[in-house]
Amino acid sequence: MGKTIMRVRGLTKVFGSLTANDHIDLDIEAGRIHAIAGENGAGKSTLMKMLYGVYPATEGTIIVDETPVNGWNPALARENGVSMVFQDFRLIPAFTVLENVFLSLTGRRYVINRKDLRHRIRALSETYQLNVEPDQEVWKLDLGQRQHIEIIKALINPNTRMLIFDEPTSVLAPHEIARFLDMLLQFRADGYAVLLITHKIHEITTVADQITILRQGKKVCAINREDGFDQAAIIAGMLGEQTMEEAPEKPAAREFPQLPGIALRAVTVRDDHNREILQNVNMELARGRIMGIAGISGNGQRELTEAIFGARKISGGHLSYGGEDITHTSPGQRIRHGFRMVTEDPLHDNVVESFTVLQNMALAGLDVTTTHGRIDWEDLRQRLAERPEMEAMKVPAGDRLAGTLSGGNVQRMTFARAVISQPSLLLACYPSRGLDVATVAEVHRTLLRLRDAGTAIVLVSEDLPELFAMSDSLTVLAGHQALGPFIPSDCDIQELGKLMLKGDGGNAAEQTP
Amino acid sequence: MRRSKPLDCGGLTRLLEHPAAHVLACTLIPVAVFGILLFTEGKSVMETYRVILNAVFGTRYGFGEVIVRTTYLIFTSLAAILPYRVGLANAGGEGQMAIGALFTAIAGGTLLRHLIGPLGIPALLVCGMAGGMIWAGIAIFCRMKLGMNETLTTILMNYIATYFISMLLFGVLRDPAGWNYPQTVEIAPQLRLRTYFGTRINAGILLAVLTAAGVWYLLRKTKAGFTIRAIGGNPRAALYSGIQVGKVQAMAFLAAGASAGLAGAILIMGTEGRMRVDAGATMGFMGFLAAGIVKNDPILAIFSSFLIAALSVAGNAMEINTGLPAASIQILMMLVLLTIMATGGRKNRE
Repeated sequence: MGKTIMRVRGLTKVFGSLTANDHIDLDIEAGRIHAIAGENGAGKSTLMKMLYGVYPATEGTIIVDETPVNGWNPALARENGVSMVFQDFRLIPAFTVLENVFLSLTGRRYVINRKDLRHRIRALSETYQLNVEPDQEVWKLDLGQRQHIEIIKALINPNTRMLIFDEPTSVLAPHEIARFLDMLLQFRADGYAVLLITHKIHEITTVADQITILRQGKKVCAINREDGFDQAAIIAGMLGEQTMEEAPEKPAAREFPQLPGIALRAVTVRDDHNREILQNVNMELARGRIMGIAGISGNGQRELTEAIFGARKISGGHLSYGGEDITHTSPGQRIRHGFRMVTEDPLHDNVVESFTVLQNMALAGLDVTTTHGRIDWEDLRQRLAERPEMEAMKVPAGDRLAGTLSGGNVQRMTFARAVISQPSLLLACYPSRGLDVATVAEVHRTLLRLRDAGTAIVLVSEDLPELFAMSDSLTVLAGHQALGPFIPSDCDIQELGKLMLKGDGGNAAEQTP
Repeated sequence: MRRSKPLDCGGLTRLLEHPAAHVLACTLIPVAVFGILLFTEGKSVMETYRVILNAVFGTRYGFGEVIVRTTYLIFTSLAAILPYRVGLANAGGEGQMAIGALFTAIAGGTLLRHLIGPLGIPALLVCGMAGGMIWAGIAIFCRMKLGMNETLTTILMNYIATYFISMLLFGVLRDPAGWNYPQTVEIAPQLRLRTYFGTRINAGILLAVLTAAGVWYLLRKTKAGFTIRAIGGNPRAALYSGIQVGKVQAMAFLAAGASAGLAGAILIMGTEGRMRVDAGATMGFMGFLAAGIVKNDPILAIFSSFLIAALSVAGNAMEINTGLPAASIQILMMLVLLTIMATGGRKNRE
């Protein structure tokens, strides 16, 4: 066992009403790879940001070299040898690699000693087989290479002895992942402490010496490699007690053969970095059915739903509505077909903050009426007041500015708006996120009511019990593929969880440290 | 990762939030600073301010000139306001106004020469709008189809407009009976706007104020305006609610060009009678300023346009009566604008 670099005791972070981290204890030792595992929203990133000093802790202490630290911040962290490689890179695209590295150097330097720096970057590149040329402009490089620059930024500081990686493999192609894990082993051999945040099981079992599992902000357990890693136990730890007992009463689905359904044929979708995130997706969305989409987030949920709605280009294959090819239609045309969408980030995608709630309800909600070209807002207000959805979803008062609403209220408003016109297709991404238990139950009732009135529903969720309870069929997004459909009553929640976590990565990079 | 805090001057800011205090500050601060400048130049401060006030409010002709320039500025400020509301920037009011003026002068001197006034005047206004729209249309086409930044293209197209017009005025469009001056033939007299009160004030000011009010009504009350404001507020949310964002942006940009083109039409029909090199120069740029200082509010733009027009007229008078160059009034103008912007508070886009 190496020397302990950092001890963390009772670290707690509270954001408003959310406790993101609840009394976390950790020991980080030199020459060991410590994995922090957990689902999205388990509090991993928050914990890392506290360790690196981005967030001040609400409670608890960080002890470095047996001395509790005060006013911990990133500058202090770097001075003490703690470096972080962020998930979203901190690079200036117009600058060269060398210039970006220069920016991260500590100490007072006013002139770039290019020759010396170039030499040091080349030396590091060689040692760790990083594919980085100092004088390349960053915008020309792909994500894997950009990650290498971030790693060089961390290593070039001679103090560095602890490296934090936040979901490092999420930006890498499968063949790059094996290389990356090799590099982590090399860091370990050179005496660095490595902290690896991930939700990918095979990465953990391949390289980690120790695993700490977080769930809902709490530390569930810590496992050492010496004690043996049990995949099933890790998965169970991450997913928690997945029971079906609170399932709402769900009547049998009705058939609506006369209503047009939606079909995807060999659809390919690209992500924001223009990489194919989903390939060859085939899907049937029948009216009066709920299709649940399961998967670790970032596996194409956003891209798939945006593509079906028309907000993202379908780069291959066909989308049809009742036999009509609508692959290349705009969101406006699909809205006229009755498509509605609640995105995963309503504040960003669905809401005009400078508008009132009432005005926002007019955006693809109820149509406004006009008299002599003038919008009759009073009429809209009255028609909305008659709608049971507004009351059931507890949508805030119409005069409030959307920008002043809490996340939960924005969610209520956008959900109510999407369901108010009895859509033909509802794309609901995490509709119960941030809502209290009673409202979540109301969301579920509303989804079932829509289903039974003939709406086709795509329900994206991270909550497996919710998906099992609500869905008539399930699709798992993992490893660039849409797997399924699975029938919830015929499959096991743990099996599905494994499929989500492993995807196709389970057979890649099989090696032991 | 430490963030710098904004300068704390809370008390002063709160005091300035009172409209009366705001107006007072925007008048007194620039006047005082400019006074010091005049003093160091050895000019009589009181005498200079007397000349300025007299130029604007002292004579019928001077006040008339202010109103005439206000007319152009309202139109060119609207040309900046509409694109701003859909998340674009039109810095090309200058060129769009010039091309609008050119179209009006050509049509009024040739094609539409024989039309009677009631038909010809609206037709010429349409010509002006068409000219401005074509010039704005090139820029928005470059933005939509080629991804070119519309701020830069509109700025560059101002220069193209200026030199293109010069080329024509020194060439094919030169009035053969005009003693070789670089100017077009005069438009037919029945197509000129009537002037009133012995000044050059014409119906253009009425049209300008009505247009500004119309834009306000459009933005605030109508469905089209609602669509525009949705795009300005959050283009992503607009897209997700089925609005054709690109199309609305293009329409707003074309409407902006039409507004600047109207300024050009009224310049020719009301004041100039023919196109000359530099006719209406700087009115486009000043209109952009007029829009900016009132945070792109179409009603307030009427007042900021008047203020800028008054200062620019005062500059001419100052040159004649005090021996200071006309350009020195621009120091006063910029002092006023900077004070307005510095004390304008942090009102949001909507």
